[in-house]
Amino acid sequence: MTNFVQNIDAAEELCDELIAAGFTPFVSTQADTMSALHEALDDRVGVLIVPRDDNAIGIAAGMSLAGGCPAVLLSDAGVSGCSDAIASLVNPHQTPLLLVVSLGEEPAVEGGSNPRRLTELLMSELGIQSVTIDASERMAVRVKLVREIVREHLRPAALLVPLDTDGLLT
Amino acid sequence: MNMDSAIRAIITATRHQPVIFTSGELGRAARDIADRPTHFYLAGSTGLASSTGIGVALQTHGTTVVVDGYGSVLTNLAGMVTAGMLTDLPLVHIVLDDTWYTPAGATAPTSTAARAGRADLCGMARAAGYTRVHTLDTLEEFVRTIRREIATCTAPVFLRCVLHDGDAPAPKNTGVAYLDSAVPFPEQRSWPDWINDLAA
Repeated sequence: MTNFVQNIDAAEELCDELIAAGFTPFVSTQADTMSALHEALDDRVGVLIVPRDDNAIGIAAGMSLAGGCPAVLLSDAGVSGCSDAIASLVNPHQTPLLLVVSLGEEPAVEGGSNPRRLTELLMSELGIQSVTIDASERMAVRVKLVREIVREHLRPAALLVPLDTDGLLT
Repeated sequence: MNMDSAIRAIITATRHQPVIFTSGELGRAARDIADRPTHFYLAGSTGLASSTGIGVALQTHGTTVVVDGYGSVLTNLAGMVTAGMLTDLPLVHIVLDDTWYTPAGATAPTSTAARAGRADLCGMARAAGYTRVHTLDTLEEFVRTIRREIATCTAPVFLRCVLHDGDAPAPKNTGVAYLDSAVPFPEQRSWPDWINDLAA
């Protein structure tokens, strides 16, 4: 099944909006949940691939420290592994960077936590303001919101990108 | 050479370069010796000093110094792998190595800690792709090498600084106050300009 960020048109649009909003560079692990977005970004401005999600956040924090406006591509499964990095490196200093997080619909194991709810809860508890892509609103509007948080208010933000949400592909 | 003399040597050699200190006693000791706008002290995120330094070096294209401990490097070997693959990254990665996998200043390491102390960090750095790798046993050697590497750095280099001597107790962790006193990011964001100002 094709999901939202594997939909080429949607991925290209999100890629364009993120670049137009001034986010660069992009850092990520080699996750396949946002492969179309990853490819689109890599074609346009390049994506730095690193072995671990928390390393991606550390690198982005360093870039931000030195005046950059980086974005980290994460899957929902990767967020909990980054809790320490977010809690001690991003949140205390209000490091201006963007986390682009893909949201799955199903738990990894039967009866497990809903990844979307868990990610939203984690972001909230970690003090990261999040904005969710919604099929009912233009993508540019949501990206503009995170742009304002990161570039104008100099705070971290998360852009949550649901995978395979009803109506998002149409 | 002990942690204190090694940190003093690093601070003396890095007047204009960004320096990222790992969390814990090492960072607190450094801040106590000299707190500069070009310093950044991790308040947690053990192991991510290298990642943070990589980010600074990528953004500024200028020589950036990371000061790690033995245990923090072991916590995040992926940081070394990333630095090693960025062949034109001007990063000087220094590890103050007391060869024990224990918090700095702790005494009587356990047998597990002793086994961890045998990891060959320099071998790992070479395998990861660092351009030059040094093991430095004396303060004189360390001072010479760090000055040379900072002056000529155009690719990731790795300096393992072997600590033979003990230290006086370092400043205690004061928790929230320590975090509050870390230089806030909005000031740090103009880092390249600060460096230019210092250089002028």
